[in-house]
Amino acid sequence: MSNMIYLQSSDGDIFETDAQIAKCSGTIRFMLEDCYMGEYEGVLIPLPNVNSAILRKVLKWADHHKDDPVPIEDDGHSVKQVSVFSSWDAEFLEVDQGTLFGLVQAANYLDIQGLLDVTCKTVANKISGKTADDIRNTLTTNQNKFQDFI
Amino acid sequence: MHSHSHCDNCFKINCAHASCEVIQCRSGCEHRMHECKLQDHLDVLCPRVRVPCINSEFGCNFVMFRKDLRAHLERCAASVVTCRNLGCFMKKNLSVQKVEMRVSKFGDYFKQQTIKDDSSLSASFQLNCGDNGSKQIETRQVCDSDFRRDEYCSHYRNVHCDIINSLNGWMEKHCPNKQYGCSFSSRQMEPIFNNSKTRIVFSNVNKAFGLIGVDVHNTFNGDHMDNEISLTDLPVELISYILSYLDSFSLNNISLTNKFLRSLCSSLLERRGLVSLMWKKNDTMNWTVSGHRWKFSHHFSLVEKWQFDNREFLNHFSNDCKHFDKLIHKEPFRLIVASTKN
Repeated sequence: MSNMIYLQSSDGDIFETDAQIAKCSGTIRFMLEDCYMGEYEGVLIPLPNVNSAILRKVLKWADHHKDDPVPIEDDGHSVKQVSVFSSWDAEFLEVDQGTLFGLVQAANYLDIQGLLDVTCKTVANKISGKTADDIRNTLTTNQNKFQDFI
Repeated sequence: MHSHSHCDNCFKINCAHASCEVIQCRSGCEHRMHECKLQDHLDVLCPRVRVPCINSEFGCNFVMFRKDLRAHLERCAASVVTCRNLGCFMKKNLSVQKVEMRVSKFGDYFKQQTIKDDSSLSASFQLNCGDNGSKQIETRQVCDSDFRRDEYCSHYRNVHCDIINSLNGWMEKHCPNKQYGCSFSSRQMEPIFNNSKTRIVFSNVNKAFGLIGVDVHNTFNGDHMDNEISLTDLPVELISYILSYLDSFSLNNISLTNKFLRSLCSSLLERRGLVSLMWKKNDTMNWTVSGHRWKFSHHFSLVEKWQFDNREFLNHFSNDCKHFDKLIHKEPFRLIVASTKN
């Protein structure tokens, strides 16, 4: 039983995908199950916060991970370790800074825990070990808006 | 008021004694006891009573169920261990001239080892001047860094066992022609972390070691365009989530970038940091606590595997080193021939 649904990015592009794959996203799962009462063949879901390039990457990740087991929620008290993730994921995330941060935001908006974990771990790996000057130059902009933040 | 001489010796959970009923603890812990013992139970025993951490007078602010106290104490911020192991750290503002003056008593050998442009890891460290008789200056210093109890074990293993003991000659090898002026040095041992190559770095700001990933495709290097998204453009909860993956050494560094990130890091202090007391003398010349100081330790993740690779060293020594005193013959010459009996 493969229901195909359509996702529309902020640029207007429409992506056709299997509903089961798209349900890795909590946001989409909520929309399909609560708003459409389980009957969602051919439905179009607009995603105004995700552009085409990012959405394409997200769907590629979701398709590769469609057989993953559902992750257990952690209690939020344990110290997170930057642990091993697969070489496919590592290669998938060899992208420029803009795309990587876009993926973080998309994973947050679409509520995809696995993608959020792996992208945040990647960003953390890029920060880890660098001096303050390096971090300031590569990862932050020189905007003044945070100068007076107490 | 009747006496509770029966209750003093009775621990039956279904005792039918009439004068003092057996009740269930009202906190929900399901213990049953005579009613007269309830207050003691709540004060001392009950696992579902919220109590402050036993280190509260040392600065820990956590309040939790008594049953969670043990697990918390392993990570308690006030549970601080100061490392007293030997480690050689040189102060950054110690000028090279001063060091040269101090070691020049011990001859040219040591003077040559303080080459100014030597950027190797061991050049950041104070040299052990060795046993040279009664005029020896003691130059070894104690590590003296604070760690949380659960961090100390991996600190000792990483820094004192692995790094410092192997720094001169094993992890980092200088060219044997150093005495002739060659300033080459290479790392032979690199940590493998998460199946990717990493390097040990030494931060002069923090006076501590850290771990940095060596990216094959380092797309974060160099200046980026101004309209590109940056870390601080992300929502606050996402930045906090990313920061929760960093080790303490990196948290120290990132808290020095700007005020916004510093304030975000400070929100992680209670879970990841240390607290220690600050003392001042009061009027009567006694010491009193003047405040609490929260900070991150210099801990970095435990390195389980190291990789040995001396190709860079061998390549330099056999091909590139320019300090060899090479004897190149332009004409054929006779080797000494062992005499044979005719």
